[in-house]
Amino acid sequence: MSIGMQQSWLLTLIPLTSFLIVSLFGKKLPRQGDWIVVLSGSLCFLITLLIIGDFQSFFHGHGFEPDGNNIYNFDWINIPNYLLIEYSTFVDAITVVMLFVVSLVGLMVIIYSIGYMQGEQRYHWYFSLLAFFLAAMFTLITTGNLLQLYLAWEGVGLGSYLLIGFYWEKQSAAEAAKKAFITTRIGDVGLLIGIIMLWRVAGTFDIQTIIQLAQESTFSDGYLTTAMIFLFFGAVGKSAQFPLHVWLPDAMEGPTPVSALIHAATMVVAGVYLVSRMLPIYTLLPIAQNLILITGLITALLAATMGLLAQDIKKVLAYSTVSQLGYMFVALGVGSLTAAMFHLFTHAFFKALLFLGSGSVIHATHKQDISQLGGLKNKMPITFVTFSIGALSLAGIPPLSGFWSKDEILLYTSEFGAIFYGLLLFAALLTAIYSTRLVILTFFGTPKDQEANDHAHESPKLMSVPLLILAFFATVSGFFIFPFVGNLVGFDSGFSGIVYLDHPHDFHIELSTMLVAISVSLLGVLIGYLYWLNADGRRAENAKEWAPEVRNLLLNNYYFDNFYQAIINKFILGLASIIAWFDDQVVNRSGIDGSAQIINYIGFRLKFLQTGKIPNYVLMMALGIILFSFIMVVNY
Amino acid sequence: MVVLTLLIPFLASLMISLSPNSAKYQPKYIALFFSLITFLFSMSFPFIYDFADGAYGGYEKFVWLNELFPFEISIAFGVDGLACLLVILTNLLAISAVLISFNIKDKAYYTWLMILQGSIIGVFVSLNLIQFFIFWELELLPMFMLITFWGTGNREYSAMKFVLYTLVASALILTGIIILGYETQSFDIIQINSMGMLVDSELVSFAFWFLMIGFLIKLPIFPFHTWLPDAHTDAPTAVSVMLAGILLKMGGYGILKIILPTMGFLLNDYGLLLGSLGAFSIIYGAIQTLKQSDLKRVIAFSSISHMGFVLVGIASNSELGILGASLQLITHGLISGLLFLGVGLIYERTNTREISDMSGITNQFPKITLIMMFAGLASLGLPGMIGFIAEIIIFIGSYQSLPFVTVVAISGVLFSAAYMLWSLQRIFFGIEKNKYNSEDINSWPQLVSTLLLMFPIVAFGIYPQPFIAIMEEGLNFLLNAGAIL
Repeated sequence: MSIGMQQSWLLTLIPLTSFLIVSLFGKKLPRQGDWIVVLSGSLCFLITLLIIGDFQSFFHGHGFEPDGNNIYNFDWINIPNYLLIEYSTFVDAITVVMLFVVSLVGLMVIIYSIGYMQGEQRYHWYFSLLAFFLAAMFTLITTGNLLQLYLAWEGVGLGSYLLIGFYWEKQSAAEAAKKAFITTRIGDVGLLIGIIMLWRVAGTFDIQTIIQLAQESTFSDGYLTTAMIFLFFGAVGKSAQFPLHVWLPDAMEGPTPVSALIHAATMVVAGVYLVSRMLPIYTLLPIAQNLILITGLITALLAATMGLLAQDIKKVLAYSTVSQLGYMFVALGVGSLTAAMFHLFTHAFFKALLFLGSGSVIHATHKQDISQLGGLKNKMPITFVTFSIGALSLAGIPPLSGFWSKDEILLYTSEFGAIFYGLLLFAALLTAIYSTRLVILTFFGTPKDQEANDHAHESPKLMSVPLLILAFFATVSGFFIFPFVGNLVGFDSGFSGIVYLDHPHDFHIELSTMLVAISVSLLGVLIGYLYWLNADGRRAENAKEWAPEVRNLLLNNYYFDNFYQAIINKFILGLASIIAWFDDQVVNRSGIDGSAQIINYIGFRLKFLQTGKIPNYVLMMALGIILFSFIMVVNY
Repeated sequence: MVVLTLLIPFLASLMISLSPNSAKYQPKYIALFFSLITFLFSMSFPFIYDFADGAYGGYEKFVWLNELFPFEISIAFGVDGLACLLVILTNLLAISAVLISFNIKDKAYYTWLMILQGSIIGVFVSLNLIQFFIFWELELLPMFMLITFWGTGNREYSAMKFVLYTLVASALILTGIIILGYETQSFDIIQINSMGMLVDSELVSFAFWFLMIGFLIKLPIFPFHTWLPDAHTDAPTAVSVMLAGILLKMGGYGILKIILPTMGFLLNDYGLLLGSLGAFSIIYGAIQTLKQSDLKRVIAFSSISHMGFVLVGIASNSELGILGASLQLITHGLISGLLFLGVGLIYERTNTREISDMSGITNQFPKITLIMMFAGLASLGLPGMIGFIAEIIIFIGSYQSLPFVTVVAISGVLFSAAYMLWSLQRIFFGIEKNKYNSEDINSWPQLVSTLLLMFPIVAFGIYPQPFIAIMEEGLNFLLNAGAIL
């Protein structure tokens, strides 16, 4: 049996099995079973390559049929006449791109973790969770129906929750894990409502069928818009978009390789994936699509400004991830699936690279605060070079990958509207500034903490080799924009050929926008250079005086956390107090105990009727007879 | 087989109370042995009986009172899909309850526990309304005894409150049953259900509300819920497990089995009202958990919240809603049972249930942490666990007729995540506050009692079809009876 698109269920089964083995027996296995996870990660990568090959030959052989790739494995729930939920897998172009990203970054992170997590307590638990996460993530991207997607969606959420809270003795880690789960769950509630709304009218969870029915305009527009906006809530939560972005920076409490895998390259792009998957419907609904565009734009801008002043190396990267995800939603909002997927593709490599690079720095110095770092470039040459490649790619410097994909998004936005284009360019400028600042403060200048610097050393091979591989992809993955590069790997028209298959029309390069993008990026790098390197940070020190209000606003992340905390403390917990009081005093004391007391009181009073004296009873009897005779007389 | 399953627990209670006081015949082993036998017997039901089209398995009928009344009163036994699963759940929880009580040596305790198990089984296998009611009442006695004598804290008050409150419910139910009996000229449930819907009249509406409120008290639903937190807080662990796991389900069972086939059409009028009450109860119960300091009260209020889903499903009067509600009875039984087992295990070691007294106990009790995290995640409706299956089917079903109520109900899922994770975090994670000089689970009875419930939660969470198939056949019976318009 050859392995191809039909067998994508293997990608769920293999990591899941290794999760079970390592979590149950990991302690007793040699090396705590990390090799099992490495093995399953490698196998998944291999299977992904086979699936891509199969997909490519399938595409050339038959042309693309949207429904042709839906493979039904078994009935998961079958209630005849009422409800049928199948376990199905589905492989198309979007899946293929996602598969490559997840399996490659996944494998790199697993290998890197062997070095990074060496000697940690609960080593086997960490590796088993990585496997669990991968199983859920692969299910998420290979599924053909929405309910199964929701299942995997919560599964990756659980993996993320457990991994963020990996150091559970730390109060902040436990808090961050809970915050991440609950914040994303707000979105998940929307997603679930959206899915149920779609089922109500489509009668199925099958994504391709729903898309087909929507395109045949079987549903009313208002209803569909509502449902799809609810669905989008899920994406907002998972992809940390405004206003639910607050969990991602806190999620940095998890081990750094986890941040690279889950909170940069895979899980957080699940929202982008979901909207991409449903894009044929969103393009029918201008209101929903504009909402996506605006959400993405606000997020891209807000998060970029927050990244400017953050002190923690991982938090800078987290804000930058939020911002870049905003870019992808902008691309989807203007209707360009290719640009969004392309940016997802390149971003995964350079952002995972940056996170793993920061992990290497943290591993060497045990410091995360960039104001405590500096002067590491000679101590850690490989980390320095690869990290710089990642940062320049993020800043959008050609010919690195980030430039090409960001340029595509800018191009489509410029065609859409000048104001969106302008704002997005501004965000690109900020991106270039904070990327440069990050590199300069970490690697250049004089070390702020000499002791930490003295101990610093290049990371072991297990960590540096994944860095080099990711740096390679961060450099070259942008070239997929050129058809001839696509040809090398068997896809005719470069990246748009991968995503759009037989009609790769909407992928082009404009020299003018490209020049604008380059100049903006270079300007950003120049500003960063002038402020933090050239004057040895003096300019940046002086700049602190400029606008203290703005500075405070940025340092406190626009007070989002304070605002939400106030809502929880004042409103929700306040309401809980009121209800608890109401329940105790009104419902229980007055309502229940009170009525018991009334009965008690009545009984107490009535007992005096039982006097035990015969004349009293005779009197009562006589009164009774008179009363009843009276009633009878009246009735007749 | 059904009658036998009913008789064994009573037999066991007799044997325990008569057994000699020697180390050889410890009451706990007798109880364990018989609860195992009962469980195995009930596990055979799905295999030996065919529930298709609402057929009853193990049907037996004995005429009891023929001359006294205008119509005969018989004793009839049998299980359909729903009852079959509820009986299995009862017996599974009974094993867990016995195992978790292994420190208790009193003969009387196990005697009452077995009587409790028997009377609950009696409720589910009764096919006559009067007989149903007798078992319904019988269950109060062991509950009262168990809470009063083996409980903690304010146990007399709680036991008395539980009994009085439930008696009010019983009075309403009895009235409803009698009206129903005279309307249909029968107390035989099969016969009544085969007649289809009653003709709408004022009296029928009365019967509907008498029965409905009676069952809602048991479920419990706001504003009839205040007995539950007290009873839970002061009950011993095993009783909490039985109470949350199966006693509450009797309320839902009553609605499904007695009200829907005969008076289900009234849901067309009152569905929105009841659904809103259910949704309100979900949010009301969930929000209160945030302010509870006692872990048992947190879970008690979460039970109120989760039972709201049952009412929403039923009130929607849709096939899937009712099926989901029936499933929720079982799933919540397993999950809340496990949660209370976990609380019992913690209490045994730390001697406190105050959340604020504990912090960071994970490293001392890793196994208990794992159990409670598992139960907590199941309770908040994580997909892949059985609770999700029931909830999603309720949502899909109830959205058809009660969209807004359903949206409110779904948002309850958010609250359940919030209070569950918050409570668990405060207890298990963070800085280690106290050192307790007791160990993590190290005896097999405690381990087995939790594993017994964890297995079905995850197994049927991943592949729910066999579980749903049995229930769905039980539902056919309701459908054939014309409950669904």
